[in-house]
Amino acid sequence: MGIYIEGLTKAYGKKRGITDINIHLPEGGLTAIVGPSGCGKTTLLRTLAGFHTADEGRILFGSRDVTRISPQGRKAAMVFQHYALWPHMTVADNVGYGLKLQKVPAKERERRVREVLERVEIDTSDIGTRYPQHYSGGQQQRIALARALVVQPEVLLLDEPLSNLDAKVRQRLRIGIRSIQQSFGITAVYVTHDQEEALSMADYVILMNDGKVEQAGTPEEIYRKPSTYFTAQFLGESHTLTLKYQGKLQRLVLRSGDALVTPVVDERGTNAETQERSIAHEEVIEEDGSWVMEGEIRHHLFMGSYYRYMVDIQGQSMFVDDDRPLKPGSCKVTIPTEKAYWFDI
Amino acid sequence: MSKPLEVALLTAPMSERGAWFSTLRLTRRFTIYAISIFMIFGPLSSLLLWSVAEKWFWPNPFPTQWGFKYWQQAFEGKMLSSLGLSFGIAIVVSIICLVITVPLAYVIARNRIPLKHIVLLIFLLPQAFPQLPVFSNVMVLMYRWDLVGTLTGLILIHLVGALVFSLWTLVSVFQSIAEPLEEASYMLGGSRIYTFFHVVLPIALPGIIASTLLVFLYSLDEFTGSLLIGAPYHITMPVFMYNAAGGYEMQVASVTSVLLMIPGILLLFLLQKYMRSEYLAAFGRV
Repeated sequence: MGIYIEGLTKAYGKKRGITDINIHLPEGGLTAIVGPSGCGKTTLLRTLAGFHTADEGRILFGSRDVTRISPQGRKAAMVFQHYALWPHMTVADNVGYGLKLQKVPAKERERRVREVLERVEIDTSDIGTRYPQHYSGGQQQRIALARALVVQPEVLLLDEPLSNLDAKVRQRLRIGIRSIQQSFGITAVYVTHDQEEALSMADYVILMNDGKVEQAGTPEEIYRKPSTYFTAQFLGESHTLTLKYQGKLQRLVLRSGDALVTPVVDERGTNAETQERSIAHEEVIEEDGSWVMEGEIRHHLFMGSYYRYMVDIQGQSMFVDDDRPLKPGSCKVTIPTEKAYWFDI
Repeated sequence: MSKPLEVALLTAPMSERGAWFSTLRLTRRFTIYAISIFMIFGPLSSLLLWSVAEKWFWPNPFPTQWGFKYWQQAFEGKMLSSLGLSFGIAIVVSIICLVITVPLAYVIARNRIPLKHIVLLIFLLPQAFPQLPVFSNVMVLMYRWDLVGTLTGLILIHLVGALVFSLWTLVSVFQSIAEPLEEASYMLGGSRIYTFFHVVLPIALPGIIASTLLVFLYSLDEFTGSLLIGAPYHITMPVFMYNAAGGYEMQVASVTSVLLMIPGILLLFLLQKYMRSEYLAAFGRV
């Protein structure tokens, strides 16, 4: 069931809120809403959940207008950042809560609770006696996911579900949540402040800034074709350099992994470190489908599988990743033109 | 001739200096313990002694005749009815407090009420002034309504203080429950009422118990209001004790206070089990 959001506006407090949001979230897909804190992504999700009522606009789950419907009646389920499992109920009671409210008979309830818990890979042998506190953070979030899915909601809302977990568990659960969402074929809305999480998990990414949609599209689109400066610098490990191009100062946004450093070597084959720097070009030029600029390697960091170089370009520094060991000194930095983006100042 | 302490400490070798310090620390700790034990149990032991002293005249350091005569008297006389009255009132006050403050505190904790802190401050106001003038003024009002000397008046005057304790602690109790716990229930179809009884109340229960115990103890020990409004028709335990002590009946007063202390100590042990420091935090915040 796709979600249609039309002209949605919600003033919330003095500053935060969302203004005139128009988006379509595709059916059966996972849509990530990403943006810096205070951008309105949580307000948007909570408006979708029904915790906030919209000031203007409409929300449709499929063809059903839910704009004025309470959270109880939206047939949506939610997974929270801090799991929100009830500490006074056993795991079985937690997961079975929604079914009990739907008056599902005890036997069927138990069967469905076990089934869904098995699908999120929770051992069901002692769920009737164990409480959520007895489980690890990652397990608790999977139980919370099971509690949301067991009622067969039309829409699954996830509010930063992984931010409370440590890095390793987070990586594993990204795949876990994604595969569960796909196997249930449920329309999911996933709010996160972590752009890497959004890009890696979602079918569709909505980047928000200052209460508005900055750009929306597939992860590849939004990463490779940023239409605004904000999008370009928010996604990936980006650097902004203010450089001269065609006689004018402009902003160039590029990412650490996309640039290539080539040391400038003199006739004897040594590094040009000791020589006087002769700058061929004072500004960025285009050459064989790449932007080319002069720079100087200042420092290097050994990162394990690659090296990270701090390169100075026209007095501004940026990181470039390369797997070759290079010495400090003059260098040439090249970036394929389609991987770096110019924006006016 | 031993060296002064500072010199001894500075000139002693490292190991000896350590020993010095640990001796000092032990001595200090022992002194603190001894003083605290004396401060806490000194008056209590004197009460206990008095309650079993049938004859005790100056300058004897201990009673000259021991016995349970006054305990027996206590259980035969009016004291028992005072004890019953105090417990009865404390129970009624606790129940009324629960009924009023549980929903009220929940609403205050969960809603953005304008001037919330001022509302709570108004509740605290009677406690900010000396009890006597506050209760004397209340007494004037109660005379007008014919409540002085009645059980209703007595319960009302206890409620003045009890509601404050109850409301302030319960607001913090509800505020300590994360809102997503309720929202998770709403999303699964639970109504506000259903959620309150199935999610909020069970999680708040330890805090509610703690708050009720506080109220119960407050009511049991309440004196000023009880004296002004209840006496002489309804004599609660603290008033009874006051009368006894006023009449130089040291033994009767001691027996009464020992009796009053027992539930207090028991309930404080219970309270310690349920109380969490954040329940009291609202007194400075909200």
